[in-house]
Amino acid sequence: MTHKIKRLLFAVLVTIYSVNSYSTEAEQWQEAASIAVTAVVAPYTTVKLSTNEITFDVRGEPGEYYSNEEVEVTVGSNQSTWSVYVDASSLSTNNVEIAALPSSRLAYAVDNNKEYQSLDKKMLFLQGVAAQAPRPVKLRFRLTTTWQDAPGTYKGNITFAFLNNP
Amino acid sequence: MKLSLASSKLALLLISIIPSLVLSTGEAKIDVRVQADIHSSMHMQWQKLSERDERYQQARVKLKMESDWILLPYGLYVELQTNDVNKMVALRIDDLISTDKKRTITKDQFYISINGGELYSAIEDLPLLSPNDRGVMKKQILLFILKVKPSNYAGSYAANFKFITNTLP
Repeated sequence: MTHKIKRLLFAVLVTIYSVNSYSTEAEQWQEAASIAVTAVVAPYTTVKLSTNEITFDVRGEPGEYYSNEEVEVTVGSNQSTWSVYVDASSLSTNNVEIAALPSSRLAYAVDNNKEYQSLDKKMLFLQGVAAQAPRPVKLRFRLTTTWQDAPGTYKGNITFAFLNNP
Repeated sequence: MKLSLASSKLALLLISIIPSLVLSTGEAKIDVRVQADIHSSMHMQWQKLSERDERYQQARVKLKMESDWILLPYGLYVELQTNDVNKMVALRIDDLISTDKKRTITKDQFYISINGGELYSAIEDLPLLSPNDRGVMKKQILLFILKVKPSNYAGSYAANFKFITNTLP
């Protein structure tokens, strides 16, 4: 009986020692393995336009007419530098006998600038860098008409092109 | 079999390359539709000319008159322009009525000369702007001639001149 008690006490002591020795080793962290982590930040660009259509109502004598709507352009990008170009097609009617209005008759002005730029060619109107916070830019459009422009509904497009400059 | 395997590899290669080419150009486009509604428009302006007016005199020297004709001592300067091929403008003249409203000179005795040229009878409306004139600024000096008859009483007469417009169907 005494012998059994001694063996039991010995087993308890050995168990306590093992627990102590494990806790001692746990305080000394050692690198067991390493994993390489690669994070890929994909390039992104957001171009937001406030409207997808602008209209001109030309009543009265020919001259300079302004679009009923402004176009607000907001660009966000994480790419180094970027540019936004604006371009226009000619405006034409369904009647082939009526001459189209060339794109040079359309012009735009940025924000409060009173000087209008003709859209006879692709025009750079906005540039930015990655760190730049998105800021809306307002574009106003103007159409110049002449007496040679026959009455009718003319349609066309203004194209905004976003270009990264790596 | 080998050929088809090579073809499918080539196709896979092309599919993997094409998107990267598009990305590398980095260009995106957005279209905004533009609509312009141009309405029919007309410019019409006139001015009464006295016989002292230089424009009246310039037209008068070109006019070939006969002895029994009376050239009225005033004319009209008219500017007309339209963008509408269907728009016409004409001048309509009523009979001349004496100021005491007792006598009438009918409009078949009344003639109009444009810029001192040939005479047009006032019986019919005189076209001043026709479809062929679309887009053109027409500046015209109108002189008025009365071919009097012995039966016409002397006196003061008045007439209405009306510009009438007509949109063709």
